[in-house]
Amino acid sequence: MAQFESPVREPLITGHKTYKQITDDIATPTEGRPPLIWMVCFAVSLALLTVGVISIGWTIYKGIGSWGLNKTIGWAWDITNFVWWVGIGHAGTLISAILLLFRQKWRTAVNRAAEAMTIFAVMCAGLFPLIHMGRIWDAMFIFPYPNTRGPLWPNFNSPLLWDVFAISTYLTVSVLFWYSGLIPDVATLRDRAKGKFRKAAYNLLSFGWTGTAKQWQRFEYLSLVLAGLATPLVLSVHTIVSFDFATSVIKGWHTTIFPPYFVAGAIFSGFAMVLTLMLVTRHVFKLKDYITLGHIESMNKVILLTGSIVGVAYLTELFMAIYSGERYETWAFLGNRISGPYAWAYWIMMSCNVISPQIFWFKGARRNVMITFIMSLFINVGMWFERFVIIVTSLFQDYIPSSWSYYWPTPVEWGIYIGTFGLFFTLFFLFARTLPVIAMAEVKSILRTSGDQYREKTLDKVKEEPVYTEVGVGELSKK
Amino acid sequence: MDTKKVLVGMFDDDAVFLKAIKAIRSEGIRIDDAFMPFPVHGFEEALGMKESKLHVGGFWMGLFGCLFALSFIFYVTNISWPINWGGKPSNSILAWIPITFEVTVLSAAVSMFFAFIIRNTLFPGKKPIVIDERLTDHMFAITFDMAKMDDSDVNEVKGLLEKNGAIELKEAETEASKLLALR
Repeated sequence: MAQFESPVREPLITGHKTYKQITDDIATPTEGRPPLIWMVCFAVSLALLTVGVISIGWTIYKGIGSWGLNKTIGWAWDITNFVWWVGIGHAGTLISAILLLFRQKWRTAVNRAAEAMTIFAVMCAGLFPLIHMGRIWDAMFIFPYPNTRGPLWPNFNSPLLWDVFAISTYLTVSVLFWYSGLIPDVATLRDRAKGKFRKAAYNLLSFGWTGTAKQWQRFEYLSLVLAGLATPLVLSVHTIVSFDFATSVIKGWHTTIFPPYFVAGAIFSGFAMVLTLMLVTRHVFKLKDYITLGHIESMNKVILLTGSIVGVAYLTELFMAIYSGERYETWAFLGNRISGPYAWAYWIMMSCNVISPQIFWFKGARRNVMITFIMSLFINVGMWFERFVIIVTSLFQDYIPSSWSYYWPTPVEWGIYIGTFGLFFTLFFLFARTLPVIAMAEVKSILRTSGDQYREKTLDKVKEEPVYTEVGVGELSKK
Repeated sequence: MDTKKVLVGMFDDDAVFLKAIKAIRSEGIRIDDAFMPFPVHGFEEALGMKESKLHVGGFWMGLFGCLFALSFIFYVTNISWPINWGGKPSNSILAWIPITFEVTVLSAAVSMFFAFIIRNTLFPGKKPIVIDERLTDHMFAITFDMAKMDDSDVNEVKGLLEKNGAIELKEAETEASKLLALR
């Protein structure tokens, strides 16, 4: 790995940390009694989860009839939430895999939590197609295994089956990637542990890691190759999700722009969720020296980029609808999206995803924690509405005016959605309490190049070199 | 678990640790192993390690997954139970690409993970021999196999370690596994 970094770059670890301090700062939140705010948040999450369990139980008992779907609108709330949660998951893999290949060192502070977020989000996502099957006890029919029903195989030409493979592969690979990265850090917790139970639990989870040279060498190979595998994987997953729509012959869905547009949207919403979680975690666990304003700014730049790609995609869709002169396409976009009964949803999407993120062109906004937090919530809402708009507005006024309908979720559907928040946050809070939220070993490995005390030293050296002062690096460094 | 006795030199600075490894190896002394809380940049070159073959296994398993998926889908759609979907050909390989890709990635990733833990003698609940609890925190160690040294060698190594910045010397037991041996 290239180890030189320009000394004028912003340090990634502040507060003149030593290796020991890094361990202490990151491991301490997992030790001792949880703070009151954690207990309150955890209790609220459990309550939300209970709502979800009851709603899902009711759906399974009663059937899909308890949802607001009808003859015209066969997909709505569930698939919206499915795509939304899968999309959120994408940021974790982007940070840990793609940014690893791009050698972006700032990822080390956020990759662990973002990967955990990926796993929990994909779990929430997977729930929706499962319960939408109606007969969840027959869920194994989607897998191609030899059976006595023919054998009856699933349709390998169907995007829905591609999705089954994509989501299950994505979940498996994400878990492996996350867990292999955790092993050395759990070993650190094991060696610090005081209590007998704590020691035994972390011993079980650390797989007996001791950090020998050969172990570390294989560790680096594994993470590099897994990153190489996860990079095309993450792009394929949302591409395949978009195929669920794009390969159908439905106005508003049948477009070739969908795969890149969905992938950009996924990363956009995922980064928003990473920011929502990390801004809170950073505050509660006092990790401001590791997740600096520089980290937040980097993430906001990704949000600005992907948000703009999404904005261009919206406008391209509109333009093509008009320019193609295709009746149904024009009807879907002009009659059912920018105007019509669901125009409110379209304009929430537009203002949250395209208009408001433009504030991040200003450096002051990118480095402002409060603005970033509010924007991250806006984007989460906006991206939810994007999926809702794509799915519902393409269906609700179909080819026969007599079957036109309007979709509104029932309390059961609300309950399931709220329940997935409960599941997500329950798992995230448990993770934040029991495992290190920042990859300790990885942060330690960048301390020598990106810690502020080492940066200052290199900077002093650079200033003494006359050749550099001529080109003004000395001036820059004063800022 | 087989064990062996080793002489341990502890360091608290990764730069000093790396320099010490190079200095000791240049004296022609065999280092048995090194322990680090994180992968110190350049440790493989310093210890003269050969490339790991983990990724080669991953490649073959990925290829296996790819061929398995393609042939399995071919078997299902053309041999076991061909179905006429709107008159489209059964042998539509383009439509199989997404699943083939996913199975390729899954097979490579899962096999590499298991290769990683098996080759590293890791498994859930393994009771490791921890030489020093600070080695997963902020200390670094170089170890030497006691069985391969006589008293004068030990004294020479101790002297070299102290000269090169080791802050603590001790003797300890450690896991003797061929899989973890430095090479």
